[in-house]
Amino acid sequence: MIEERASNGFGKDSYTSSRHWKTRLNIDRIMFFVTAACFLLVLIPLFSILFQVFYNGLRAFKFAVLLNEGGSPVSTISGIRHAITGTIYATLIGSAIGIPAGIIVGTYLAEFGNNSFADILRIIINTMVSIPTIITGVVVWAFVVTRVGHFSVLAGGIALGLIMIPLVARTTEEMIMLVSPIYIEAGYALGLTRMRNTISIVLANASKGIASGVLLAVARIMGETAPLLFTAFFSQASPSNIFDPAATLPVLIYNYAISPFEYWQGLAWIAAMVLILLNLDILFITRLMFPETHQSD
Amino acid sequence: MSQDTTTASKPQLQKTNSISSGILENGSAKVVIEHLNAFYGTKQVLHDINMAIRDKTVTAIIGPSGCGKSTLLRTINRLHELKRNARVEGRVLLDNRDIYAPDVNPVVVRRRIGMVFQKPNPFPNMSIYDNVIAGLKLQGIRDKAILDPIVERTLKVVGLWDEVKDDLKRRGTELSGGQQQRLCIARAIAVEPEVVLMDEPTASLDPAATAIIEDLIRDLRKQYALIVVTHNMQQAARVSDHTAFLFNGKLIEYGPTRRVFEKPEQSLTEQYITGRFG
Amino acid sequence: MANEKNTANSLLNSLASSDLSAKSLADKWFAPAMYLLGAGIPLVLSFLYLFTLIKESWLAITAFGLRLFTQTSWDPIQNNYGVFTFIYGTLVTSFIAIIISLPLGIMVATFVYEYVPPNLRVTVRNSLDLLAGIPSVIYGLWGIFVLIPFLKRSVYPGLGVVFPPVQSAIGNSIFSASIVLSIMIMPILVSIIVEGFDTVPQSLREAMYGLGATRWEVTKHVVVGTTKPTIAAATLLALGRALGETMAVTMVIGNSNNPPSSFFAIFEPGQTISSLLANEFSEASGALYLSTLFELALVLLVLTSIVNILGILIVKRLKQSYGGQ
Repeated sequence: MIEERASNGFGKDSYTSSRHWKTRLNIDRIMFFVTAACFLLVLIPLFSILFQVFYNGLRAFKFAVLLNEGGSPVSTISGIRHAITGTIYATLIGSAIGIPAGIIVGTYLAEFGNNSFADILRIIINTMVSIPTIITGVVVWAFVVTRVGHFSVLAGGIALGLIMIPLVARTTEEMIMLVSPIYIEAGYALGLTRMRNTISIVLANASKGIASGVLLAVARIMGETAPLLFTAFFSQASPSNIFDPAATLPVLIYNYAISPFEYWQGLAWIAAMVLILLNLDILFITRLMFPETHQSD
Repeated sequence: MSQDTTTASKPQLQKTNSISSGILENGSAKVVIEHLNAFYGTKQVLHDINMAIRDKTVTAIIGPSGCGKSTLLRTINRLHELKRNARVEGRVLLDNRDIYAPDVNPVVVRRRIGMVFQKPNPFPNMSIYDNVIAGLKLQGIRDKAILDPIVERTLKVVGLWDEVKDDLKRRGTELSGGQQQRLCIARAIAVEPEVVLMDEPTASLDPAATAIIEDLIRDLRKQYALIVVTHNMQQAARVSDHTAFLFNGKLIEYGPTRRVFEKPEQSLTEQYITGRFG
Repeated sequence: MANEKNTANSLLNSLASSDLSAKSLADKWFAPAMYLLGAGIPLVLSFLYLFTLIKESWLAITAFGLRLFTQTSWDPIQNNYGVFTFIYGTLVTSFIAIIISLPLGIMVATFVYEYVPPNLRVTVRNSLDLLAGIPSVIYGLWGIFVLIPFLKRSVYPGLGVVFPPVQSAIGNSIFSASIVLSIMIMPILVSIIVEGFDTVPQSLREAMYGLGATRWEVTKHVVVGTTKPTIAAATLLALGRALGETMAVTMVIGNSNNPPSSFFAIFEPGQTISSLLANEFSEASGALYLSTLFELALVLLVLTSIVNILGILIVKRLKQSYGGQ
């Protein structure tokens, strides 16, 4: 055995002297810089987007823009107020549908979902999260818009609500699963009924996490464009009620960005700035409330 | 790296000898540890360790859990420094060359020192065959004419050849725990290291598998300097030539195994060996 | 996680408010109601999507059959529809995006997980989350006014020297859309791959280091090697995202319904299923026209769902196998 060792041709010395070592160590060093460069390359768009949105947004900004309704591209007093109103309407309607329904589904999965039927539901829900949102727009058009007879912010809100349900359901289940079973068992030990226990122990303890997940979902639907194109559609005036079609910030960005008018393009940048600020605010609040969760899809 | 710039000096060796009596009587040191201190952040886990380890012997490191045995082992192949905030002071000489010298790359050191871990950890994405040659592949050896005989020979050394020769393409992780650990030993010695470190190699194995590994350790002594960390004193007594007793990060006693177990010089050693703590 | 004092309080409150001796009517109906709603909502919703899309596209399905997918002419005036162009646009933009993003994503994940000191990792994660949180219409806006001018000015002329077809490239093209997509799918790709890296036991890394491997070799042979299934799942989920992405693509792809001039016509304007829907759905007149658009939506739904379910199942299987260890 010992004699064989010397004869296999790559014994003690080949590794110390060879160029091979140098190559390997150099590759290691180079790869550090390569991966770092890749990382920076990925960050460039992020910084570019943030910079451009604020640069162009602030350049075009005047306060009147936030206060004035929409109007023709040649009147330089028209603003984006109608789109802000529309976004608030659509987001509120969406949340009114998506949050309760999502929490119920999530609670069901966490509390009653220890079986293979629920496993299938989970797969359905995870698939629904990733359904292209334009499909939701198409479905809601067929189901709501054709029934109402015209585009409406209500239809837009319903579309956003449908998108929100699986998002909220998933985060609710995750957050409930984080609640220590000790508390839940303690509740039952004290003789609480299943409903009381679920509401006052389970949901109460998971509420912070659920709230942060819900906020992230709100941020997400606020930025959605595709499902609103054929539901809320567009308008140059704030909706007077939920059956009016309405402009929203994302759809306004789309419509104005592809328009040939410079003034409208400026408004698109301002709207983008407002949308990003809202988004960042929510992200910031979420981090403050619940520093442990950092999920994204 | 290849030329022996003999930085180790005789006086320091002498000092080492005074602690580790009877180690170097008939031979030279393969590994010499000098004034070694190890830290995690500001917490010091090893205090001024000095010991010389002979070639072609089994050296056992024993001591209660948390005494720094594993850390000591991991300073010898510079694995310790991979942990967060981990730091080492002092010298470790391998063939009289300080492996912590600024011009020494830890990667080159680790190539010369094999390691076997507490839990068998064959690479789950590789076959038995690929596990054995993982280290050789790193060195750019791809020729099957060279690799095949090495795989056969190495697996024979660890006594695994007859059990797996027909399905070398199977995943290493499909073997039993004891087989996996022998595969890991094969993986470590396939690159022809000079020193083999074992960190509680039988901790997760059943008695039968443990016995096989212990036989293997005694066998491997003919070729390598083996350093085995164990919390099992019987095991240390069974397999080792020399035993070092570590307590609270300090080397309390180090000498020929029989003497350490039969006539410990330190009362702390005696208390540990007789089971009064640990 | 849960604040103990809060829990104690809520326990006391619920005790005070509940009569232990009697189960109220609400209590009795709680579990059945949860079953009905909790399971019912997702089932009804998925049925609603499928039923609506199939019903509305039935006219087109019966009128064209499979011919729809091989025909290239899209002619609402003659009421003759072929959707090859849009399937081509959808698949090609997504595949190019994956080809760009996947190697880059693995490198970024390597940097983030294996090279960045742990205390910096949170910052890195936050910036990726931020990238994921930007609404897609803003990517489109940025694409129109920043990226495309940049590509036309600085990238396409240089690329044209190496690869002549690019010389005729106009800004709004399949390739530009692919680049925007590749940026948009990066966060999902990196976050899943990083999660995968996180499940690789430290002892495997150490075993490879112990054999004398460099950090890059450990990453390549052990970390990436053992996370291949995760990387596959990440790729599928990113692909699902890319296939369905609408706004950013619509704004930069050029929206041309002309069939691709050659198999590799990526430097000319194109159209994806979703961009076609965004452009034409609200103006579609005529039952067959509309029905064809519905059928496209159905195709997109099926396509993305298959890709996503595959990805989800791989992730699920991985979680189980690691959970069992």
